[in-house]
Formats: sequence, structure tokens, C-alpha cells
Amino acid sequence: MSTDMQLALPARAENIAIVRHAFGAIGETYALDAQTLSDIRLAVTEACTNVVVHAYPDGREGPMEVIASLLGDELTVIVRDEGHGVGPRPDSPGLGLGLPLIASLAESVQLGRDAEDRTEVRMTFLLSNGHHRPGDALDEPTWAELPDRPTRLSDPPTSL
Amino acid sequence: MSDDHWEQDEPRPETTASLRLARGPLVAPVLCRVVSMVLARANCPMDRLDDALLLCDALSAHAPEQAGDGSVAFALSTHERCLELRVAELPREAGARLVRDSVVPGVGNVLQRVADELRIEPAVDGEHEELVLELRF
Repeated sequence: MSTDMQLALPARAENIAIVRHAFGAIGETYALDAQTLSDIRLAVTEACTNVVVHAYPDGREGPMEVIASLLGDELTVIVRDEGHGVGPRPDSPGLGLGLPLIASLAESVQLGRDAEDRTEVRMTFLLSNGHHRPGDALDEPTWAELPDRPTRLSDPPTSL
Repeated sequence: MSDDHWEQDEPRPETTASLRLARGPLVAPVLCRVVSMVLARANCPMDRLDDALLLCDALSAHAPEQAGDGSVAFALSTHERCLELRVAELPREAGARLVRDSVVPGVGNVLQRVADELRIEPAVDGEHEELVLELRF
């Protein structure tokens, strides 16, 4: 899969806006309809927020990497970190809606680790209006095995 | 200090970003957006933001053809009221060619005229070089 955009930033809240703007540029360039672009940006925002909030506990700073690849009518977005990863967390400050929201917006979602043991959320979006149905119940997301941190949509919301 | 209480003329924390874009239509729009956001967060005044976008346009127009493979790599950082923009992973001599290509008839060399500092540095890997532009604000 060829990479069209790879953006790496410190995992800080203010940098999520930069990621959103980058996807705005992608949307303008490829004339994506407003709803599709909105869905993509929202899903990517949620994935990046997970990195900012969960990946690097104890105040340490680490990278957040976002990769976008376009192939035909399919956009694949990978949000990657080198930290704790996504998993049940009893002290989570959020409502736990991020991953379910991503799953409802994207055609497919995979959680896992890459060859360098970095945590990644891989989302795919169909860009053709004929295929993408914003708000529709989409196929059940596929979940990669996370050996030590099983994460499922059915987990209680407070776990994410 | 909380994020809501930055004084207008107070520089924001340093931002660093690395950006790799495939040769093609995304280079200019994505680079311009990312640089704009980084500078906006650094409280860069509008006139220098405009200058930075001129640099981005010139780099977007000519860097892809100088890049070694199918993509062009940028590194951005802000510190002490200065944007440092690097065009990374260039083959040897490509930095000078990129500067030469950035001449606009009647205007001159955009990179040299707009940037406060322009230099070519060898990359850490010893095989490539980097074109470094600094824009102070």
C-alpha cells in the first residue's frame, strides 16, 4: 500500500487540529463530499484523542503518527503511537465512546501492533458516494488480536 | 499556564512535525495547511504567515521533482519566534537545484527573498542533504 501522507507530531491535544486540517486539505484536493470528509475527520480525531489521552501515561510525551493512503475509492488511515496502546483502563477520564464512534463512521476498523510493536488503529473509508452511507450500520469491525490487551466494542464504555 | 490563557504576544510551546507526501496533488495543500496551523499556534503575525505560504508554494512546486523517490519529506519546527522548515532526504546537489528552480520571472528567487536564512546541510545518514529555511517572526 503506497502512502500518500505521513504526518508525525508530538501527541499533544493541540496537534489534533493540525491533523484535522491536513485531512481537510485531502478532502478539498479530492473533492470529497462534506459528509464523508466530516466522518473521516471525526474518526481520525477520535483516534488521535485516544493517543493523546491513553498512549503516554504519567505525563511523558511521545509521537503520534497519522498515515493516509488512497487506493481507488478507498482511503485507509492509520493512527499509530509508541505508547501504552488502547485497552481497558479503569481510570479512563473519557466516556469510552471513541472506538465505537470510529467503528460507526468507518467501513472497517482494526486495532493492533505493527512490526515495530507500535500500537495502531487502522480505519478504512469508502469515498464513493454510492458506497458510503454515513450513519448507516456498517459491517462489524474486524479486530486484530491484542494478546495482552483484548479490546472489544462490547467492553463497558468506561473501559476505553 | 492553561491553554486558554496564552497572551497574544507570548510564543506558544515549540511544535515539531514531520510530513511526508507522495508526489502529486496533495503536496501543496497539505504542506500549506500544516505550516499554517503550526504558525498560527506560534502566534505568527499574518504578514509572515503569508510569507511562509509563499515558501510552501515554491517548495511544493519544485521539491517533488528533486526528491529522490516518489515522495517528498518535510520537517517543521517552531522555536523562539522562528519557523524552521526542512526539505529532507534530498539527493546530493538537489538542494541547490531546488533553490535555482525557485526563480519567478520579475520577482527573483522566492526562497532567497522570503526566508531569513537558507542553507543546505548534509543529512545525518551521510547520503542525503537537507534544504533548511528559517523564517523569523
